[in-house]
Amino acid sequence: MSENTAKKPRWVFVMEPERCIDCEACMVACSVENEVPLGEHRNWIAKVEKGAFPDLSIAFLPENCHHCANPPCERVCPTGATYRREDGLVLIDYDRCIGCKYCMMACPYDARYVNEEKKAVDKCTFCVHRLDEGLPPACVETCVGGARHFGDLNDPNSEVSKLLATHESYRLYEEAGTEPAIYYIRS
Amino acid sequence: MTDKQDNTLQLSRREFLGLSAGVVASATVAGGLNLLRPSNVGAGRQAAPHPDHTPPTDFDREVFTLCEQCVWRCGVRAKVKDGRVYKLEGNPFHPHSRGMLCPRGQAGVATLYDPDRLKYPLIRSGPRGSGLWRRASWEEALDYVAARMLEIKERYGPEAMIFSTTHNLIQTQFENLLKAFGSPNYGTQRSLCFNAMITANLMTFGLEEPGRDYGQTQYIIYTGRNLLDAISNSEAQDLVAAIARGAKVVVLDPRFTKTAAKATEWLPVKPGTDLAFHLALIQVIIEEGLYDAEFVAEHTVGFDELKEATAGYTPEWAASKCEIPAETIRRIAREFAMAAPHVFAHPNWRTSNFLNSFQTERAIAVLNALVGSWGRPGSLKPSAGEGEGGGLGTIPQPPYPRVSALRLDGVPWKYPLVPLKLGVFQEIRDNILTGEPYQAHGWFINRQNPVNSLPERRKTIEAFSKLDFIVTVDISMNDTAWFSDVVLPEATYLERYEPLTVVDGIVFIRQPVVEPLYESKSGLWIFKQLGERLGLGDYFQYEDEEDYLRQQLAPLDITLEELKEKGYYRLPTHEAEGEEMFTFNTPSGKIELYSSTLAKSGFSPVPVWEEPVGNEPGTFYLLTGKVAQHTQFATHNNELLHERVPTNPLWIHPKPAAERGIEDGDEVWVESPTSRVKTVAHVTEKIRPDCVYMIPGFGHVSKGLTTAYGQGASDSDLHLTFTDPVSGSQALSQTCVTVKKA
Amino acid sequence: MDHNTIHFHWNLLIVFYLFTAGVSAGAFFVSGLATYLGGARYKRISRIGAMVAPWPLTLGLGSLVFDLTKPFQFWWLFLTLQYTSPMSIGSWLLLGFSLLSFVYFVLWFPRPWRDLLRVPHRWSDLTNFGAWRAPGRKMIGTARRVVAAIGAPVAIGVGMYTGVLLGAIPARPLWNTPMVAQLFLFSAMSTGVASVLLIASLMRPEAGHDHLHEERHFLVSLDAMLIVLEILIVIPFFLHQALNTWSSAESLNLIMGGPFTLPFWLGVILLGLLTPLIIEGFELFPVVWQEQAVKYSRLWGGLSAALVLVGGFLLRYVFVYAGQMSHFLPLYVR
Ligand SMILES: Nc1nc2c(c(=O)[nH]1)N[C@H]1C(S)=C(S)[C@@H](COP(=O)(O)OP(=O)(O)OC[C@H]3O[C@@H](n4cnc5c(=O)[nH]c(N)nc54)[C@H](O)[C@@H]3O)O[C@H]1N2
Ligand SMILES: Nc1nc2c(c(=O)[nH]1)N[C@H]1C(S)=C(S)[C@@H](COP(=O)(O)OP(=O)(O)OC[C@H]3O[C@@H](n4cnc5c(=O)[nH]c(N)nc54)[C@H](O)[C@@H]3O)O[C@H]1N2
Ligand code: SF4
Ligand code: SF4
Ligand code: SF4
Ligand code: SF4
Ligand code: SF4
Ligand SMILES: [Mo]
Repeated sequence: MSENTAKKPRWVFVMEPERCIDCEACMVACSVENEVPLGEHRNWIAKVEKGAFPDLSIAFLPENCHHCANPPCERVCPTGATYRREDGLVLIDYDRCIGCKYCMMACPYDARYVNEEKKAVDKCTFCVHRLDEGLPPACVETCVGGARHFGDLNDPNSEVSKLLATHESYRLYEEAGTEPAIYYIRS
Repeated sequence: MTDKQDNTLQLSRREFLGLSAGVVASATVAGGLNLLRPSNVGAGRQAAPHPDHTPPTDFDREVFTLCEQCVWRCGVRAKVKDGRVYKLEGNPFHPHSRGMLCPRGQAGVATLYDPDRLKYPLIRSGPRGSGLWRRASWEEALDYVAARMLEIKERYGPEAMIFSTTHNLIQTQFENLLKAFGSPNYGTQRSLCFNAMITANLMTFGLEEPGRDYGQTQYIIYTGRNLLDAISNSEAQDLVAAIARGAKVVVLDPRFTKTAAKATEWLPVKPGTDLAFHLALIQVIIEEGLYDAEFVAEHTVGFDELKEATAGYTPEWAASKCEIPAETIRRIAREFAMAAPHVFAHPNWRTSNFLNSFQTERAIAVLNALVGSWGRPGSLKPSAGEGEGGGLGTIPQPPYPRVSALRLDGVPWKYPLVPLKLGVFQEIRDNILTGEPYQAHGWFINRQNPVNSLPERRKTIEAFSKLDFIVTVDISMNDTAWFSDVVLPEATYLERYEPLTVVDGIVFIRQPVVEPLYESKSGLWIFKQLGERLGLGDYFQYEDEEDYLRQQLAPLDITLEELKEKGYYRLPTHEAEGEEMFTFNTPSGKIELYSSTLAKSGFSPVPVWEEPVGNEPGTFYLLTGKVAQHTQFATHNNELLHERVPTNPLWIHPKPAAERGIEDGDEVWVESPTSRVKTVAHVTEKIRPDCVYMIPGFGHVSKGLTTAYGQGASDSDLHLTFTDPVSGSQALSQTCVTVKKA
Repeated sequence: MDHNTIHFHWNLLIVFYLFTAGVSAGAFFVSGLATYLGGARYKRISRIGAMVAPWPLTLGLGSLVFDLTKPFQFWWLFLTLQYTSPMSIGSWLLLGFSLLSFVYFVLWFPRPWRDLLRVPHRWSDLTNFGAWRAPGRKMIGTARRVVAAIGAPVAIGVGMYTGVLLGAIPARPLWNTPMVAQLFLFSAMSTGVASVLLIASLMRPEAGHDHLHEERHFLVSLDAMLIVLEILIVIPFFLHQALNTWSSAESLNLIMGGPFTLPFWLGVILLGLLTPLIIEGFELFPVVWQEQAVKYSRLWGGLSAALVLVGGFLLRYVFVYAGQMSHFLPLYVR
């Protein structure tokens, strides 16, 4: 494949809930990296707890903005502040955002928060500033369990492509038609 | 469903605290509490938002150093911009981090920029614990400390001065100070932590702590080791990888911990009865001939005695003790033995649970030996260890003075088998109170929080009142510092040099990422200054921190500048040879299933059943245990970690909760024979009905911790003191409590 | 913050805004309707409606803007038109509606003030301000009817928009049905009628123009009809939600045994719909049954109108708040 026919990247997260230990290192890392105000956060661990003593199970699902290919947040934004970049990242133009919070209503994943310092709505950016420098997202880099993987789905040799090729996976609230970019490996 | 928090409440509480603390501060302006209030120097991440809303990607510097948010000491890459530590990342070259930091490591910036940090030397100006301080210069504070210490030495002898610290890189220089001073009284966290485990391994393998090879292991048994909450970064990574690879993991814990959640099998063992489980494993493995006969014959002594002593410990017998079904025990014994030698029963770490924890640890060590889990892929191995040694240069010093006084911790006169190095910390505290065998008069505390880490917090505070002089070196106004006479501010780990350390044959450096904030100083500087004032200057023959490191590096072909740049230096290789693997530093030179040392001291030479104290009907075992987002008693004021886990509700099973009319979120009283605390109930299926659990480290009494103060309740307040006569280990799960709705 | 705790990012200000926009739209619409249907007979209704229309919305818009994190940059809304965003379309609609409602307001000024107006009467006047004069009676009448005709669909749009704003959000199962838009529309009309009715019942009858009974009859029967329509939407709304996806069925729990049960059943249904309907039915009963005129009571009329307004507010309160708690299932506890 020559340079100019190379496909645009499709950045995705592939999560391995089986490897997540709910340590929340990803949350702290993200808060520091992205200067997320105290009390808010861009990523979290969803939990599915089942059973009764002593037959218990609990699954940890690492989550952040799903950078939907069909993002309802972008669709409803009245100012165009929320936009989708060429490579699929759903980002916010903080100057343009007036803080109507309509996107927060529209996001099925509750990925957004009001950033009182920026006076705008905010969320996970897939660490776009790091990505543009060729660095992995902060939460991926520090993930103690190795549960978070990030990469280009359009590159068949990427770690994420390989993981998805060899494992069954699912996405959250797929029925919402959001085409989320976070895949979960079924254990 | 877990860890629910109400943040609105929290914030308003913080505002409230901020307000009330402010009132106190203005009321005591001259008094000095204001010295503890936030200042604008080195404000935290909130104070310096980037105007362009995009986090920086180009940094002025990246500095390699070592994490100190816990004792695991991961390698860190610190990113600096405009003189501010912006972000910490794992050093990919460091075997303990491998490029990752745990939540506490990630939160290091909030430790560095904590507005509550100690800023200047403080001398108490009101009654102890009143929070009235006077700011002093280093000159004055050091002169004063030295004068008081010398006064005690002259009047009562050097033994009247107690020194204590917890595992850290400056420990060698701290020990240097106390040995040169001539005191035999040295308190460490060890008897509260791993005495049972270390002593058992010394008795069995002749070494402190066997290493674990996770690479090819197929079966692991953890006995109250909650590795995925009580994180040892690299080892936690190894465990997750092993599980993902398909290794079987069995976890014995009365609680459904994070480790249990990830394990193949969780066994909610009755507290204190792990010994019965392991004795039964041994019994089955011997009776069914599943042990590694060749290995046992070649490398161990005492098999026959062991066989005889454990013959009666059938799974049926054990089931009646530990409440794990006999079939399960028998199956696990078989599975474990079948997968051997690519298996290990983990030696565990904090094994300060019951008086029989030493026997439990012995049984675990013996179990490993029986199936030949030693020096094979996926089994136990001699510890790689971390230390100062390994070809580093040493700093010249005269010999230490001879010490003739008895040790206040009862080693060896009361506890003959406790290794001198480990000691019995809680005994020192108790002997301050009794004044036996002599009265102590001063306590020098570095990087430790005995007011919280020792059981019976009231007793520790009471012991303080028997002392003439207490000095604490810390980075924050912890609860121990709060009750001290002098508090000296150490620079945080991101601002100082420390003695070099060697891990897996690689030298690592801790170096300042930024200059120390306020007037804080490194331990290397503080102890040298004090040493000189105590007339012990010869023991501190280095000019400054860099000089100390240069002397350490002298025999190696790397300069300090090069090491600072690169962050590590690989020593000329010296790997454990095959031979070395199987020589054991025990009296017999072999693995001792039967320990003659134990026999000689009148203890059982082979593992035998010791009945733990049971809980009275209507009472609960009070369990303690780490949480991934905090370290011990130290990080609750870290705003990033406080944000994650702001308090410690009491875990209680729905059945006993219902019997007491307690619902999730209700306030409850938890009462032990020594104290009672009020906290909030977290009603959960994740704990045995005869146990309750609290995260340790909350319920701080120091008002110098404005974020943590008044949050949650202290389990140390409730714990009673029980000391195992063999290993000197404190028994933290042995305290039983009642719970009632508040 | 724990992801687990529900945060109400839209609060009472939004409730107020949705409510007031509805009242304005309804008031405008009923005024227009009265103008066309009743002419002189309903003149007072037309006037009250026109006098009311601009103000609730202005207040509501104020509170909406105040709720923005950047109130003074609301104009970003008007630098773009986002076809897919109900809020963007709604903003433009509201802009248009406010302008129209203000023009309409001015056109309905009573005599002495209206004469202060100056308008061009011929093409040549356009460049000659001096020639502008007060509008004539006929001219005003035409203008009112023209503006009412243009404004009525816009008012319907505004009334609908307040529901579409919520209904277009799949992420909130409680909202995500076209019936929310219908419900909000009829509720908007009903609160608009009620505001006119309320004011009418507070005012003394105009001397010499005793159209009181007719006015009342018009308003009350209109309102009763709207309430019936609302009820006819609420019933299928429940059926649909219950028979739809798991998420939407579960979302009903919020108003059926959940935290919003009381405000919904007691506030919206009983106080806001059934009670006024009963009062109005009671008033209308003799008309229907015995074909005779009844004396409308200002007290009962005012009361039923007030209840309609309270109910309309609570309807929006319940939907705005409960909707934010509704969520796709399975819900991953965070
Ligand atoms: N995040 C974090 N990590 C840490 C630390 C920290 O403070 N925070 N501290 C470090 C230090 S110093 C240490 S020593 C280690 C300690 O790490 P661990 O050895 O894992 O010790 P704990 O977490 O204290 O307790 C582990 C478990 O013991 C269980 N337990 C209590 N009594 C019994 C019993 O009778 N039988 C059994 N089977 N289980 C029992 C408790 O429920 C608890 O879950 O962690 C290290 N790592
Ligand atoms: N109830 C209960 N008791 C326990 C345990 C439990 O789980 N529950 N665990 C036991 C175990 S395993 C252990 S290891 C002990 C630990 O007991 P301790 O060592 O007494 O407790 P830490 O909280 O680790 O104390 C560390 C202190 O060092 C300070 N510090 C941090 N960084 C620095 C630094 O750079 N320089 C200086 N000078 N000070 C610094 C911190 O502010 C803190 O006050 O507690 C034991 N006691
Ligand atoms: S997860 Fe939410 S915020 Fe992120 S792109 Fe999808 S809808 Fe938008
Ligand atoms: S809050 Fe900002 S980003 Fe979200 S919809 Fe409104 S303008 Fe768009
Ligand atoms: S990708 Fe970056 S912004 Fe998104 S959750 Fe991870 S660290 Fe936060
Ligand atoms: S850092 Fe990794 S293992 Fe830890 S909570 Fe986050 S996703 Fe899970
Ligand atoms: S385990 Fe965590 S806190 Fe401990 S040294 Fe490593 S990163 Fe730091
Ligand atoms: Mo420990």
